[in-house]
Amino acid sequence: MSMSMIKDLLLKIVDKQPVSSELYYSMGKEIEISAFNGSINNFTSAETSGVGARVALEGKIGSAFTESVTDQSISAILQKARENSEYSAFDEGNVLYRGEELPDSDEYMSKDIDSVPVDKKKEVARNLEQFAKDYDSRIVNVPYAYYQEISGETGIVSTEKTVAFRKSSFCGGLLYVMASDGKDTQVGSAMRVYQNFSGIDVNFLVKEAADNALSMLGAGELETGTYNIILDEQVASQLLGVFISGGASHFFGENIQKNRSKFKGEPGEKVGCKLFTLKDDPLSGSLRSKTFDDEGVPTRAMVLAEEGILRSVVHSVYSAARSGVTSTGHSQRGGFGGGVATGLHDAFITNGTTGQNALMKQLDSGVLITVVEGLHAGLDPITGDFSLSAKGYRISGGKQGEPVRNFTIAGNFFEFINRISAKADDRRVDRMSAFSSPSLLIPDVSVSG
Amino acid sequence: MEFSQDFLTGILEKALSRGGDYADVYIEETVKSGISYDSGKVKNITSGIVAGAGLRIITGTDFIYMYAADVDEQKMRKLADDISAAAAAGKSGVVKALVPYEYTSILPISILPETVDLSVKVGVVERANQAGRQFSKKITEVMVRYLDNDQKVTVASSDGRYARDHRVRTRLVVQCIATDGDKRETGMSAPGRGMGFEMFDVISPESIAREAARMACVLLEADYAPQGKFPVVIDNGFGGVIFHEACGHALEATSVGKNASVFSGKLNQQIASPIVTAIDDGTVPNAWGSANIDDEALPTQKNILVKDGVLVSYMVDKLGALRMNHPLTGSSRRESYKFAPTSRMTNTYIAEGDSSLDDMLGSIDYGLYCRYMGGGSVNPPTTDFNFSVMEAYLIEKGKVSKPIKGASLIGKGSEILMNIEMVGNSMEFGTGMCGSLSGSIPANVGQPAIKVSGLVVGGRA
Repeated sequence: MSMSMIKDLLLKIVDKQPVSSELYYSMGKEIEISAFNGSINNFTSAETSGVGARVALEGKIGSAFTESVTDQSISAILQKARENSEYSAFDEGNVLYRGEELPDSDEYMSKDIDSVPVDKKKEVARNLEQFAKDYDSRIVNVPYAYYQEISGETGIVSTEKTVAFRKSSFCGGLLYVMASDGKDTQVGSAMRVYQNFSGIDVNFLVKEAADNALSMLGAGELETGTYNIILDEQVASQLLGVFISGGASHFFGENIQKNRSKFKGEPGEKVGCKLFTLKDDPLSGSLRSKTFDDEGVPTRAMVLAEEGILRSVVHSVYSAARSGVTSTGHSQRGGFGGGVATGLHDAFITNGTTGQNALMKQLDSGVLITVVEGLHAGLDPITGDFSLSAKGYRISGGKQGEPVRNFTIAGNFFEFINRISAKADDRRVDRMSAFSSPSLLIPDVSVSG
Repeated sequence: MEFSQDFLTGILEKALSRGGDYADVYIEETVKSGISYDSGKVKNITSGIVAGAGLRIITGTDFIYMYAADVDEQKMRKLADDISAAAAAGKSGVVKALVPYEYTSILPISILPETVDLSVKVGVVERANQAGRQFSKKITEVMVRYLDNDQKVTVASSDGRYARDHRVRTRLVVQCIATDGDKRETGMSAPGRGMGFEMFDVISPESIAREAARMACVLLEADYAPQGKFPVVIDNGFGGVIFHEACGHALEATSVGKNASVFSGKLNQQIASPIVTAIDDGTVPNAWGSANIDDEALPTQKNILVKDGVLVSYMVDKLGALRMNHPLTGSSRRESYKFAPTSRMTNTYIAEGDSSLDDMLGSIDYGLYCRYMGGGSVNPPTTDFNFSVMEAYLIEKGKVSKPIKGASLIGKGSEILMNIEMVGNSMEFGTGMCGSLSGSIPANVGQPAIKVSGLVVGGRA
């Protein structure tokens, strides 16, 4: 079914509802191609869709979902959502967004992935593997070389007049390589997402993944102690991202209301040091851009913190209603089957003005952290404490030195954002993560080796 | 969504009609329901059905996978047509007559989730909330998630395999926040079983919540963990995550078959201390990671992976068997029809040894006693692993002393397995979700307490 047919179907169903109801539609089309030993060892292709319903009745909300996009199934889940709402509890936040009809958004559609023949896409996967093997004789195996593309449609309609539909598509490459010098084995990976097929840079991915693995060969260990460290842009984005853009984010209105955030949430509150300026820009034109959120609320660029001072927290309709304010357009769902939660779109710590090399020069001696692992487990999103397995390089004489591994870095998120002593200008937006950061210099970090 | 045996034979034949050695079809209907609860009240209740089918063709060791939601006979035929067009090349494999696999279920369910009134499910969540808050005045928030999952699958393959399974799983996740002045800590307990609502007759919601609350309160008193290399005692239950990460993933055909595991080519070699026997058993009755059949229609089985320290078996699915010339082990799993299956763990554990916990603690002058572990991850080519410690204590002069927090343990699986010095005498399972190529699946980890020397403890004190 085309998006306009879906829209008509959902509007027709919603029009018949006697109580405050919302339908959230999503469709995803994926192609995944991987190469191994020169042949295409996996080709996966599919298109699935579904609808999630929410019913808000007397301050109670219930939800239900189906993968069958028909009048009958959707009407049935509306009924089910209503039943579920009866067992829910009253909360002033349990309301649906009183919206408007927004223009369909298709500005983030790939210009070429639908017209590129499948053989060209297979070639990307094959080239990723082959070029990585050709890059250096010490690249002994390429377990994963993937081309992926995803196109999707999302639509929200409600009895409260919300009508918002968008479509987007993009593609990407992923590479995971093993390097060995006969004595030591190391792994390296690279992943990038592109709006257009023509933008895919196989050589860039190969260089990044292969260099990551090769440069770690023969890595030494670090002595346990306290070090000045630089988190490279990827590590800073991943690590701080858990606390800034993850479900337990200390900047989400709901977490502040429920006393799960460290912050009080008042504008003017000191949350970090001078270099901590945090923004969210859903309209920057990056791959994370969205003109409306998953409740159909129009998005806008916001400053969350400026030079360490809190300017604004973010809200979904739920938390906004609880605080008596309007939603900031930060509702997010994990597809039609997922619940409604708060989420950031394209948040970031603003860039500094110098490159990572200048940071190393400033530091003179310390450790550059290029990999952290165990992010799903090795930290407590609520207390901010973390202890993570890491890899990187010694910094000596202001330059990147020998590789080091098998150590952990431990600390606390709140301490980190209060102790950023320099930041680089190297933030990247092509990993499609909800939060990105430039490389950060943090003094006095506990390292165990 | 029921399809006859003849219809499925026809689908497999159609799939292979233009080329391909082997085909299988996986049809799933999963009814899910969930309740989320915080701040002393129900936040949301949701329910839904995940239903669809996936069709796969293997040629040599390459595969094509296509899937669709909400399938009927017409959609199934289109799927078979699409995949055969994509596979068009070479000879067509033969579809053998399907032989239904008959068995007595190891997952008998006495109370199906769909028969339980929603108010009763909400009651369980409320009991957990109450017990958590009553545990201590310091407990300031109890967050509860109730989940049940009723999955019916049918799998048929051109090898003539044909089987159905009915897997019901229930889980209660309780997270408590304890507060004391400016200090705030969290504790979590989240058991699950391959059971229906009767799970709460086996484990009460109150006991789950009290465990989470107890952990949060202990952590309020905890100092940061020390840094460095120490001997560590990892207690039974979820501590088994060490074997799961440090070794289990590297024994899956997914990595072994691509020569991307440190254990590739190590069959019949000593890879662990001689006191270590490790097992992956998909047949444990009503366990979280169990199933009657795997997702390629093979009966699940008890696989001894490591016997007295010697590697005796990998975990192998169809593709892995083709790549590795290794027998199938009933280890093929996937999150849903949206994923092609691959070799995965089920209920994985280190078998009981003969040491007591006191013996282990008593043998250590200074080290760490890890009561509860969090999750972790591993790079199979190197077995560099990490996992987090949720509740731990210092061991000083053979005795458990003060609680510590904020630690992770890291090391190389291939080395750590050799450094297991003592194995306890009381095995328990812990519930987890395991993420890999074929999605996020329920998996049990387990072990008796073990003593490991020379682990890097990532603390900050």
